[in-house]
Amino acid sequence: MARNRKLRGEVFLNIPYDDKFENLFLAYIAGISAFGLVPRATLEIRSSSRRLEKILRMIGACRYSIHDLSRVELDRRAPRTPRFNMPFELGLVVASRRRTRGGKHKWFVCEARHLRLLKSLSDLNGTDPYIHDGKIVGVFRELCNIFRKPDRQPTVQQMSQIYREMRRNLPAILRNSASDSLYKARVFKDLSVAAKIFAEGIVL
Amino acid sequence: MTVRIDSRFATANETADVLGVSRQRVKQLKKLIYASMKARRASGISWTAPAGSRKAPQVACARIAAKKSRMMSPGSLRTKPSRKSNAPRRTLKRGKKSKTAR
Repeated sequence: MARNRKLRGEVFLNIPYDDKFENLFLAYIAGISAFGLVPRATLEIRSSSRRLEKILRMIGACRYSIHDLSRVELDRRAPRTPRFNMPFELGLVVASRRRTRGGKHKWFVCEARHLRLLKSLSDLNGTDPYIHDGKIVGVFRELCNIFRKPDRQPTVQQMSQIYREMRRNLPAILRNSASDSLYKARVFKDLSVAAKIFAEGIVL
Repeated sequence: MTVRIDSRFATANETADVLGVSRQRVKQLKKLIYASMKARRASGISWTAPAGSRKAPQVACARIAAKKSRMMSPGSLRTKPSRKSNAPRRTLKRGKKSKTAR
């Protein structure tokens, strides 16, 4: 499928894929779609071979990236290990930033609690994280703080509307994909397209 | 730091192109979404119209007007919580005094 070269609004979403994060996962897709941007995620990568290379290529294609570090915590099941994918991918972005899109790539870090990031990742001292408090409306608020679209700035209410429509149509989308989980490649792509269909009607 | 977005608004088809979703699948999703909106409109639930639809504002206005007329009717005036009596509910037995009277 040929890509439109003038389109530059892709956002790499570095977020956890777990059941408790479902609401915020949908909120990120809804909010990003409201700005007319295209969400990308490692969910799209199906095969495990050369996964790191594919992730780097995806990051390189994106103008922006959002890294949510609110769920970097110990797994409840044994062996109890923390999830390091999110900080690792943040590290990849920071390191490759100079080579990514001529140094124009911009990355943002989101967290649920104030000051926790400074304790867990002190190397980011000086970088202000965006605190969403673990809430859907918090994600929308912080996306409005991150992005500004002068000709058509979406409101939190519009993003909430897109989110509600996504929620309403979610069972049908899952049924259509024969999946029971949001964190599958096809479901993510369908949700991103559906969010854009809603955004066209609500924001434009 | 706020970033100014200078790229244009990506449409559903452009989003599908980037993500590798076929146009046929986009049509299926649109059909799914509009069928759901139609079902909700038929049952009277408020919905969000896709671009180009003219019926959504009428439905929304009808709902707002119906709500307004309900609020204006005398029957809708119920006792507000502030009008409820603050008198103690517990009645004392004969010969007993309240705590404040002791």
